Amino acid sequence: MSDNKLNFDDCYKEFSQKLYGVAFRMVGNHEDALDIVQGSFLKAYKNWDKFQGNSKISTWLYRIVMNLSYDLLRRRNKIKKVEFIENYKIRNNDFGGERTIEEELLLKKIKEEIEKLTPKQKTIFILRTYEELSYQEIANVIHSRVGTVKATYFQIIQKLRKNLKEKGEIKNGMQRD
Amino acid sequence: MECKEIEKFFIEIIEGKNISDYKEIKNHIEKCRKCKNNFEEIEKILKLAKKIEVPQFSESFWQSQKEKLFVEKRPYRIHFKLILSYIASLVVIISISFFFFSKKLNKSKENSSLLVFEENILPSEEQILKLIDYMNEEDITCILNVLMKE
Repeated sequence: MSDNKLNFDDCYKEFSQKLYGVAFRMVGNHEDALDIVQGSFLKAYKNWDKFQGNSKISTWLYRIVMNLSYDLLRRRNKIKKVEFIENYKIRNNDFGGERTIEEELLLKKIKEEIEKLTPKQKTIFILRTYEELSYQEIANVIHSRVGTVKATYFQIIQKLRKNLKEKGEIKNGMQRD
Repeated sequence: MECKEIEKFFIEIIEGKNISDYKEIKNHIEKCRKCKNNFEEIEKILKLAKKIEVPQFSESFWQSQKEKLFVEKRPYRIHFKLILSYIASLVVIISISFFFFSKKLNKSKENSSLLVFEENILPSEEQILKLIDYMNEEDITCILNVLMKE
């Protein structure tokens, strides 16, 4: 086994679940997320020698996952969008812990609002909120500037808050709680 | 600091980041009702959003997926070859059966004529109609002659 192959194996072991999580959040179902992970690793394997090492390997892998997710979302947008949102909601109901009904309802609404974000906004939100990447790392993944990423993340949070408030899901001082 | 300026630090405070004016910002949030509401709402949204989970899989699952990664393309070739061999064998079977069937058909044709003329059996009208499809002109004339004699 060559060094590259060995590194690839370690890489797969370390990042497969992480990349799956990101892909799942991007596309909302297991089959597509798994396809994206497999496709990303296949792409990475083919270009393994071309990887310069200028950035972290995780950044490179996140970028591939994001590009494949964008492709899928683009294709899906041409077909239908509603089915996907429903699928996402149902699937995620299986993973809930102990929550109050109020929280469960708000969580559903938050999921719906996240789904409405543009692919780029969704990427920033996922990488920051769930993967806890720094603004600099996110900027490297999406080929953007730190300031832009930071500002976009702030806008996303404000947008979520505004939309949820307009729909009466949250009220001043979180009165619904 | 203005409320608009304070808002920019909400996320950092929620994320537990060290910020230089932390005390001043915290004091403002405590005193300003609008900022307090906004802060609490954002905190709640982020806290809940983090609860959205994704399926988790074991190491063995990912190991099996990795193994699939490099063999995934092969089944298509095998499949293609298999399909080709199925089609070829089907063609052979069909042509062999067609060959035997046509031979049998010819034989039955001959037999039916022989039965009529050699054993001198008179067929019923129904039988004639059935046989007529398999007969040539000569056979039909013979039968007609027999019938005319009768």
